[in-house]
Amino acid sequence: MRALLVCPGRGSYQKAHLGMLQDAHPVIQALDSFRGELNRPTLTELDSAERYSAARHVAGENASLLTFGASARDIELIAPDKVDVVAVAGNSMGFYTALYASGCLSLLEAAHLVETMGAFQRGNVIGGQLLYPLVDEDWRPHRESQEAVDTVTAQHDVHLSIQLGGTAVIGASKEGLRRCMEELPKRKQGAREFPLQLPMHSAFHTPLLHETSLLAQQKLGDLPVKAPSTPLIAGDGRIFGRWADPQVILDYTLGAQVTDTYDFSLSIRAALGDFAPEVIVLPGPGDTLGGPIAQVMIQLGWRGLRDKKDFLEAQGSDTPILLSMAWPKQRKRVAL
Amino acid sequence: MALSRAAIVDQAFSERLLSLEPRPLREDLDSPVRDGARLTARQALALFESQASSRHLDLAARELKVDGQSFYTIGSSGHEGNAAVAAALRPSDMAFLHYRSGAFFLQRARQVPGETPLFDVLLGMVASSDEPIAGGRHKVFGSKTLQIPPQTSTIASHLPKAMGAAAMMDRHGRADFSPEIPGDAITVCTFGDASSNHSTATGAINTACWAAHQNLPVPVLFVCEDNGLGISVHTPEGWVESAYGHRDELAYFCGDGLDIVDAYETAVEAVEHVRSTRRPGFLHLKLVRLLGHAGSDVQQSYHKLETIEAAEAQDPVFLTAKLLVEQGWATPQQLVEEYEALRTRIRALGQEAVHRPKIQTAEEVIEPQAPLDPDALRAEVGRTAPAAERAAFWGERLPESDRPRHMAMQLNRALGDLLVKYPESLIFGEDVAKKGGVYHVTAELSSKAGVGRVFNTLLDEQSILGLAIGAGHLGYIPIPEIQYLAYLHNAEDQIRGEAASLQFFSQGQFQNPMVVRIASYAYQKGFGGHFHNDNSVAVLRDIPGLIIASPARADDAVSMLRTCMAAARVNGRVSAFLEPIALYMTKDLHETGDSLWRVPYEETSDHIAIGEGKTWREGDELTLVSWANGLWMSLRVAERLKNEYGISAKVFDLRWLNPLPEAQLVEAARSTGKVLVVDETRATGGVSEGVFAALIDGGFEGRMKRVAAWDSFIPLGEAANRVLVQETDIEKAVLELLGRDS
Repeated sequence: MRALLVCPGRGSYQKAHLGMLQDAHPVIQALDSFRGELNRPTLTELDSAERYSAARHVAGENASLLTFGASARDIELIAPDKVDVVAVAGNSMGFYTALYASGCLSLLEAAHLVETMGAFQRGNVIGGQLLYPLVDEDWRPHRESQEAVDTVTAQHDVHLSIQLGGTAVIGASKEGLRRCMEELPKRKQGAREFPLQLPMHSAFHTPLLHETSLLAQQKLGDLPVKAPSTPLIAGDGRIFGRWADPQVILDYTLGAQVTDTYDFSLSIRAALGDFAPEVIVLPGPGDTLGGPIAQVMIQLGWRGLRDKKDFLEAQGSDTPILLSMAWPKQRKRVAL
Repeated sequence: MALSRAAIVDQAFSERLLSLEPRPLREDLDSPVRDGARLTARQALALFESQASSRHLDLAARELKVDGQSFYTIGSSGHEGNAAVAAALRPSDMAFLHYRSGAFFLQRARQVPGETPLFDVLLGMVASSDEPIAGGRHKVFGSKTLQIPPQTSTIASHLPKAMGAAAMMDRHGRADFSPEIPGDAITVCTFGDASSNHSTATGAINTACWAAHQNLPVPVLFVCEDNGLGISVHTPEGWVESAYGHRDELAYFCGDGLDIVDAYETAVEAVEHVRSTRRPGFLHLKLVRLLGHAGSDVQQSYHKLETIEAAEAQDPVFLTAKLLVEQGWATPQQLVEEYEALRTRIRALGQEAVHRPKIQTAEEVIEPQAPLDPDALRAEVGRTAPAAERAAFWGERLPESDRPRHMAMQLNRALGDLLVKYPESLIFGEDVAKKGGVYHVTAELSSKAGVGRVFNTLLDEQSILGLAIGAGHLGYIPIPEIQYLAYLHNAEDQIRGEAASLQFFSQGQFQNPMVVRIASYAYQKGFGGHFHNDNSVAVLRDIPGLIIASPARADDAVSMLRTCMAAARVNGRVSAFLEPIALYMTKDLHETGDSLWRVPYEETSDHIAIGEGKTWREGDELTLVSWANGLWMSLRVAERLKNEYGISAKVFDLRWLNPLPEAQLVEAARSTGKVLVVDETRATGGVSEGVFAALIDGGFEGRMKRVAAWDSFIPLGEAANRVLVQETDIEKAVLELLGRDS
């Protein structure tokens, strides 16, 4: 199967995933040693905690590496005789994982990137992020919501942080966030109410992170990025192939990736429209990117999908288009 | 079964490449791809990918055609060197591309993140309504974000507008209107060697040179992709260079389109010349044509096998790959892998494309053809220019303070007010500036608005309309003047094939709004001859979406002109505004001195909607249907018939020849039960045919008759009146229709 690999963002490792990294996989072992050398809690320790602690597991410096580790391990477990990865994308921090998956960075180089960017967050959360849906219950575009988001993001300290399929991730200063919470019409979808603030998240992918970007360039400017062996798709829709300029990839990673909107939707559109993968594989904890990816496919009419019902039907068929490695049945189609 | 030439070329690529000796791989990809080259290895590798992708799109078109899924197989094979031209340009340089510009299109798309050009081209091949630019109406290379207006022309008719856009670019910093493009942008157009012979090409290039000769900026790059063939006809050796290589104003650059290094080097030089000097350039790229003219073309029927094989031996995709291998930038295996990966991707994309929706109904087909928002249009007509600006333009005496005047004078004032109201409007044509037009309709506008906004052009109607189309692309509202209706025929396709079709083939994403004023029809006293008295409008009436206005009196002319400008602004529409020359200076209607054909000028006027006719005179015995000169004659005849015979004739003015006021027409006909159409155009193809059809379609069952001009060219002198409709003809026909003896 020709597959697009999409790596999840930092918030993916959640309570339900405690214990998922206890298989002593070499990837986890390597990352544990890496953390051990830094005198930081290892993934195995964090993952084996008795209970999920927001302070411990949600904090950027830990959440990032947990998600990265879980994703990297899954990527190693993809069976080459079952899956031919033709392109790699990611969401937000998942772009760092994508750098690893596409061959731009080794495991430990990518871990260093994840760790360093996560460490900047320690005790230094800048602004914040919130979620707001742009689609209705059927995952069709919801115009009023889009207009409301356009209105709030027109304010100087409020930005579109991630275009995440049918969800807008808004990044803003604390004051901007407060205004967004007030001004965005309340919407309920399923059990969740929006706007929904994300705890302990900085306003990544906005100009508010300019300083962080400069710091990253200082600390990580010598990251030995190589041209990808598998095409890599960035958060601005750019596709980097095997002859791409590694410096351009590094500049993007530490520059625009940090300070400009991460257009996950565009990256998926570019991936679909340039590679036409047979399946999309989601490694790592959970399947939270499934919805946003499906929403992009619905927008495009990809494979004839028109709404959530079509997508769920397709997923229920013998040949689901999205394979989440978090689901045992789907994992079997992908993993060794 | 014998292999097709496409399969032979395809297989040969890998076989020839794998037969090359791999060299030790070099890693300094930012070095020149070969000694002395401007092109780096990394750039060359990217160009190779665009070239190979373009090749696979051509192959996919043929594969899909076999399955009955693709509808377009004219490809870019052999021309893939044009990727180097795209690489030398910026995505903000407006590009008018012909049908062999696949690699150019792909290469430009690489410069803008998030584009999906492979899929988009495939959607075009299978005519899917999801294709982002034409929506399945044509397979084109086009994209709003890539500044590539879609072209369907195979006859170089896109060159005049490329020239036109270039000529209108360098107006930055003007207080009135400045196009939203970078200050150093240029335009580029591509065409074949055979197409360089079309009058559109020679005319556009001539006009660019004419302007450059006067040091006017025309930053346009003409790219002639010379494969030596026009379908089956050879271009004489050296002809393109002979035709275009020796003009003082046209910088000529000749590059080897098969050698990506030379193609890029030459393209960069040409682009830099045009960008820095703002003068036209001609880039002559020599290349080959592979896979025939189109999928259906059997080259073996007119070419010897060795000729075909000689071209195939020069496959530019292979030659780029060979360069990369020989210089140690990639191994043969890597490039073959890349080539095959592209094939797989493009095939997979093709399979997704064939399942995409197609246009289902005629209504969907024409949906973008003639957008019309009547309420917004009415509001736009009602919007007036600030009083201070009008005062500054007109001086102390505003035109509305003057006494009633004839049509030429009031049109002049309406044009003046439109120049004030629309800073983006321009008036140009032959003699329109200082002379003020042959009939003084544009008198003094140049001195009032400035020579930058009202200016003379050279005597070439194709170029005048091309200038208008190009200006429209940049956001202007041009008001070009065609001096006489007969001159339009010289250039009519610029409206038909180009201006009127742009919204259709771009789903409204590109617009070229304009109002083409044309001094029209016959009946000029003392000034005759066919070329000044043409009465044929058939060529305009069947152009889909073209608005045709044809007023008879000054007040209507002013209002209808305002409507056409509003339609241009609001909906990007193209209008032909046919002004009856013989009524320009007409003051009276029934008798000398009655002044019934003179009206006062008004700053604002009642809105005349597009397709809204007018009943000038009530009557109950029959309805005279006409417009323009015929309307004036009909009113005179109606008055005489009333006085002499007591006949009560209604007189209905169509005012718009497209769309016709169909409902009003049927109602006007039904109210009397009898219709006489007074048609100053020719019997065959004349407007009355459309009027009759509208009446029949509308269910009118009464008696119908017409008087129309003879199917004749217009002769000189008094003889003209023998073939043109006369008032006596109208009178006689009315009496016949009513069964009355004269």
